[in-house]
Amino acid sequence: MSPRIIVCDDEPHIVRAISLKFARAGFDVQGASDAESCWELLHRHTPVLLITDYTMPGMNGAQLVRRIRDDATLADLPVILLTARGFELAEQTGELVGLGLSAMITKPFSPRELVVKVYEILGYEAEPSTAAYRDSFSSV
Amino acid sequence: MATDFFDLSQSGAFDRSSLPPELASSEPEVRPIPPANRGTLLLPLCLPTIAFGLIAALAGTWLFHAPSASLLTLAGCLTGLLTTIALFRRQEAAAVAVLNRPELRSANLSQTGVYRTLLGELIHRVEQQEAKAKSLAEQRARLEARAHLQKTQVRRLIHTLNQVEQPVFLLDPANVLTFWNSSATALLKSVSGDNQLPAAEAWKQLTSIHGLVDSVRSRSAAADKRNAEVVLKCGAELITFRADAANLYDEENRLAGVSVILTDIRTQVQETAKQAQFVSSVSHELKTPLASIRAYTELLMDDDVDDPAERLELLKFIDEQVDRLTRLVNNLLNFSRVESGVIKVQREDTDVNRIARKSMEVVATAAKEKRIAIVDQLSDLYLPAHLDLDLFGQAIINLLSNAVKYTPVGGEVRLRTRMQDTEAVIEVIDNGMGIPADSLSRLFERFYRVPQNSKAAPGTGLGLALVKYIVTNIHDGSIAVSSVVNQGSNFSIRIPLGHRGGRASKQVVNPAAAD
Repeated sequence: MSPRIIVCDDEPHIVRAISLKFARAGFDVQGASDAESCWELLHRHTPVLLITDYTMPGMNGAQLVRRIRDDATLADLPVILLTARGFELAEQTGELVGLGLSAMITKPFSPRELVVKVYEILGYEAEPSTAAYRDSFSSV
Repeated sequence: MATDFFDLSQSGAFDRSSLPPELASSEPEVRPIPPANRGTLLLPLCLPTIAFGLIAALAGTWLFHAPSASLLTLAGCLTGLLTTIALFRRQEAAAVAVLNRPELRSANLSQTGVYRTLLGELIHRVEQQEAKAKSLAEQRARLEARAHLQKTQVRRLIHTLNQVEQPVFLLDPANVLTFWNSSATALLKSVSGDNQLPAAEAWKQLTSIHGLVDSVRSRSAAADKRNAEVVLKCGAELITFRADAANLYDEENRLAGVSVILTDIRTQVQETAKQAQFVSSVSHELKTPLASIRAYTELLMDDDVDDPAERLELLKFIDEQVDRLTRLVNNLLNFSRVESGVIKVQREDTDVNRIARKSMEVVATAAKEKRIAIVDQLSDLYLPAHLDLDLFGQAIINLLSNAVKYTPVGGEVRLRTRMQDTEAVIEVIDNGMGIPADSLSRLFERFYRVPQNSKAAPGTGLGLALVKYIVTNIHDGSIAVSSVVNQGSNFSIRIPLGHRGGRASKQVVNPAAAD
């Protein structure tokens, strides 16, 4: 069975692009467009990893992760935070402290590099057939 | 011998018994009266309560009938009196004669040589004193005039300071409050919460400012003025001020005091925060479409998409995102041109309907995609107005595109124009998601986005602010909105009707002066 990944972003194109890329790399991808539906999804089909956007209407990505960490079943879930906000987030590190993020990636991002990062986090070896190996990755 | 005295008592004309007892008992002295001089004027000699004698006055002769001792005293007094009067008169005459003498004029002093000594000196000194007194009087008058002038100037300065919005405080070298303007009075009252407390006492409560004052006074930073941000609790509010403290010096360059001026920077702080938020928001809005473009482009380049139909679809999305970015950039440029610089407005006489029709065309494609009908309810009348075609068109486009954005698929947007009294009314009506009542008052604020609707479509919160600016500041019009959640909204623009003659009137508008 393909490992499951959940992508949460209010921008549908981001969800679609990541889904396409990760499906290609052999994952089963589920998408959500806001934190609430993502939360439901997390409980229905627990993934091996969550990729979530920071800025979303309603609950933002950091609040979602905090909820995840406080939940017994989800507490250790690896999470990657995507954000269009760059240096401002650094100023808000108060919010990000203690969230245990596996990575923080700024938009615009390279899906290729995202896949490499996910493999790194999950400890997978990349399959040579995937595009992930086609270019030597630049720093993530 | 004294026998020729006319004894009145004997003739009966003079009754001795009518004399008072002290006189009646004394022996009178009698002197003879020559027969030729008979005919006597008798004068009684009286003291307030008693008669003590008689004088019979004849030519050249006095006849006394009184105790001789009193007569002599009386005579002596009279003589003395008469002598004194005579002497006084003589002295007076002599003094006048002396003062009127020409030799006494100081110019003639040296000529005569006679009065050169003490008298001349004295008179010269007196004249000097008179001159000095006169010049002192003039000096005093001048000083009084100057003091009056300075008082007027000071009063005017104080009056001006009292018109200044910022609280102004003047302190003496001992940090005691010596002057404060009306705004300062108000501030002190609100900080101390006590209307009766004297200002100098209330000043002591502003401890956050004392530190600044001390540092300026001690010139610890080798500067004669410094400023700092202070927060003061005025009643229930915490207000941020910038406090500017500067040393004051007297003519000998000694420290005469410190001045403190407080400027309310709440708005500035808010503006800075708003700007920071704007930059953050803008960068987010720019990066979002870029992220989609990058992601899809990379997928296509890496050949990750098998289905050709899907590949085409992705290319379409990329194209759309480029459009979106372009629109965003244009919006931003528009807005910052309007907000931060001078824009060249070119108004001309035209028909409102002409601009309305053009704007509809621009939005047609986006509306079609969502199967939203844009209904044309333009007036049959020619609606003359004096408009900048591009800017006014942009305003209507913004309203139309908002209507399309916030109306679900299959909905309807109406553009209506009509004449009402002396105004042209342009309305954009939709049956979309509407705006909650508590957002209506803030709708036209820069960067404001309705929280409940921001999910439906991204935006920078500039569109409506731009519309308002164009309508009210450039076209002397007004804009209003009414809305019901889930039923729709009605935006209505009103502008004065009428041509102004001439093809185009160039107008330079400084946005900083507006709003």
